[in-house]
Amino acid sequence: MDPILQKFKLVFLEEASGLLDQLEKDLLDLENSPEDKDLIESAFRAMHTIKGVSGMYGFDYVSEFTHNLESLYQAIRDKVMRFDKKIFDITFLSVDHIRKLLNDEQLQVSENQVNQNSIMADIKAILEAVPAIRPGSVVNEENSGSKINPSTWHILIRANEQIYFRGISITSLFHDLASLGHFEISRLDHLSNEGIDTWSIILYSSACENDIREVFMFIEDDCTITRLTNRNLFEDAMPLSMDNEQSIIEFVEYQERRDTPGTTQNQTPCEKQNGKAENGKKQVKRISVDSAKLDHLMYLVSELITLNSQFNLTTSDSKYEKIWPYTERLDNLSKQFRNNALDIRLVPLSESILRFKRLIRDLSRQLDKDVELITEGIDTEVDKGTIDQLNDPLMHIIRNCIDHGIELPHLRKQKGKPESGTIKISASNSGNFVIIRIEDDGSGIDLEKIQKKAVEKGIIKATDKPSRNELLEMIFMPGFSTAQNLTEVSGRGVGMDVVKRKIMELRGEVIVDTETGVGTSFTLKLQQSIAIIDTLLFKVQDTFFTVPISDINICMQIPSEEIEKRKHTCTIPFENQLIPFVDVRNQFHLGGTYSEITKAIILRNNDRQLALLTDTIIGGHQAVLKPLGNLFRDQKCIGAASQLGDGKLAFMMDTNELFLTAESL
Amino acid sequence: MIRTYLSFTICGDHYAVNVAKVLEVLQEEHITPVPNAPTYIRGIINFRGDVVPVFETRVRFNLPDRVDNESYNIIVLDVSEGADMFRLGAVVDKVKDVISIEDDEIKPVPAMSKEFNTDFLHGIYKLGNEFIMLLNVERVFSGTELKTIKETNELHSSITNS
Repeated sequence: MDPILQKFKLVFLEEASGLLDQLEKDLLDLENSPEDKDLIESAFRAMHTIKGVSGMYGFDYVSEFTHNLESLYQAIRDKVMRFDKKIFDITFLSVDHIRKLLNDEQLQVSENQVNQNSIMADIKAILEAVPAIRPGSVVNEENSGSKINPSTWHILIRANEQIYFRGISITSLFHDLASLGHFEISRLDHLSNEGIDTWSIILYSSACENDIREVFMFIEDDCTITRLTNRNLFEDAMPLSMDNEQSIIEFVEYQERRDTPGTTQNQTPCEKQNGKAENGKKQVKRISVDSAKLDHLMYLVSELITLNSQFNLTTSDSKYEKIWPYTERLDNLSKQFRNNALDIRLVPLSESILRFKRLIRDLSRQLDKDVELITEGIDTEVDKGTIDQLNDPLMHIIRNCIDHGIELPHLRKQKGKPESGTIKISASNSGNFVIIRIEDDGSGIDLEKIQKKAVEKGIIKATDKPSRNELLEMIFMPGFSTAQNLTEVSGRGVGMDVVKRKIMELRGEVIVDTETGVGTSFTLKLQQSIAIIDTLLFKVQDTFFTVPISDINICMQIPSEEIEKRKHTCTIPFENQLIPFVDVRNQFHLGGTYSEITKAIILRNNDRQLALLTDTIIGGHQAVLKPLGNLFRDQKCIGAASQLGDGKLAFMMDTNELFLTAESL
Repeated sequence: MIRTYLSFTICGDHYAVNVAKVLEVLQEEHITPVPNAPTYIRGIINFRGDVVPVFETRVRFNLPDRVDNESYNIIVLDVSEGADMFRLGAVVDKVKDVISIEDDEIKPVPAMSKEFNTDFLHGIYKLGNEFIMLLNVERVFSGTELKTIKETNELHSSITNS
């Protein structure tokens, strides 16, 4: 295929999936407020755009299918029809189907062929049940929308070459515009520069704002539509300098003032419009970038940081004193550069929330439960890579909450709870961490049942008295499931252990808490960013190691005879208790012995503590982590390395693994 | 067909690898030893931003190991492992020359001492009075051989852990 066409196709696929997300989101909202006109408009517009653009790129099946779906929404928009459960279900099905079609443009997958016909037939059936319209006929657009008093509109289009690439013909836009009323166009030469064309359009029309916006919907982001006045400016003496937006607005304001003397405090309609737009959804200007480019940026930043520390090391001698101010500035700058680059990789959690909404909707219907999602702080930002890894575990937790946590409506009523259950997803920042909490108000985890099960499985003895936390930890064990009936949804014996493993891979932790009859909460604690982290550098013999600062409780000194005394149990006293130690020298066969006063780094993980024995604690180190690669896959406790100023590499300790090692000793 | 090779010495013997596989030759770059790694892995280096493992060819070829202050070069190579590429450094004594060799002039590998794994070679080339052994880098560093490394690695750690 023509590479350029291929490229546009990719852009289209990206846009289309964004539009489908938007549509899905609108639908979920519409289910709660089916009368919301704005939402209906937004859903309709998403469909319309998908239909139009997919036709342009040869996705004929998508176009044909969406056309049918659109007829349905046209009917709703025209109030010929009302939303019901059937319509929502079929629209969700349709969204899923269109998603599949985007990967199967020739309709070759048999499942898709069947769906294409069956869903379209269903849609037609719904439409045929409505006497007022025939299936497949989109009502003439001119009849839609209420007519309002004629006004003069100003439309400013700033089109870059992207528009042409997207295959949008500006001329056909003007053709459509002509059907709305009288208009005049001028090209603003002084505002048109390389690659950007600017047009100013004055339109006198009795069409409502939505009809005008519809004409421009493919270039919505590139144009501003303003209602100037309800007078017909063409009848007034037109200011001939129409190529200047400011002068038009001034002219209109002048006209308004002249017409209504003494009421200057009144807002002009034009200002009202602007105010409304600002109060609406906060639009963050975004650009989408190939993530490989971001990875490359991160690579460059990490090289810069490494070079910077090499440079600092070389110039630390006082004979270089003259350049110190510069190294300091360079230092500062590269730190800012690093933070900025890390920041670019952050995306708000809310981008993932949509799929959870959909999951909750589908699942709760499937299980005849009523579940509401509440979110809090979901604009909290997380590293893009982390978010991608986080989706599956989060989905699994939510699935568990609905399936095992939230009770059936009649049971809830018996217990005196509202019939509709609630799942709350909240997120917040805490230092270098992101905390994500998923709570349900269901029946809670039955600890007695877990204990019984653990005894059955031989994990503990019948006489054992495990603590509450130990029992809760058991749900993360492979093959441990307490569900009475294994449902299709969750509880196939795999699950929570995978969640735990995934979160640990992200160097995070997951904590579960529950109260019988009240609910269960899962708290995920994650590093905000995993590529560059603040660590403590230490050395044993000739080998350098690092541990994340965030995992360290305290550093201390221990007389070596104390260690010698407890060598057989591998524990040392700390804060009135014995904690295990990991002898780094021994663990990695580095040779030599510790000095009489051994340095120990006390690590903390939940409520567990562990001491790492070392020779020398060197200090803070910004570790740019590089994976060791497959060859060292079996190497426990170290999984990554970072470069030091002198070119040597330091090994990053995997604290979770260290705790596991300490437990198995 | 004429191919270009990079020649080097290990313990006095001459070897060569196809230049197409070579990314760079490093002089005495500091190699960070990896704890608990098998002896034929000298350690890791930071090469163009990535951690790259460095193999000791002497140990791979069952030759006496390098003494601390002996000089060395590292040849950074891309070795294919199935569909994947695997980047590694190979420690050699001294990089010599770039030579062009006509395929027809490559002689088959003769029977050699059991100590030396002849699978590592794909042919011999005679240059003047010198015999140059042309290495099959895929066999030296990847595939089933690498699996053995992993196994040895496991073995090594299980021995040391117990």
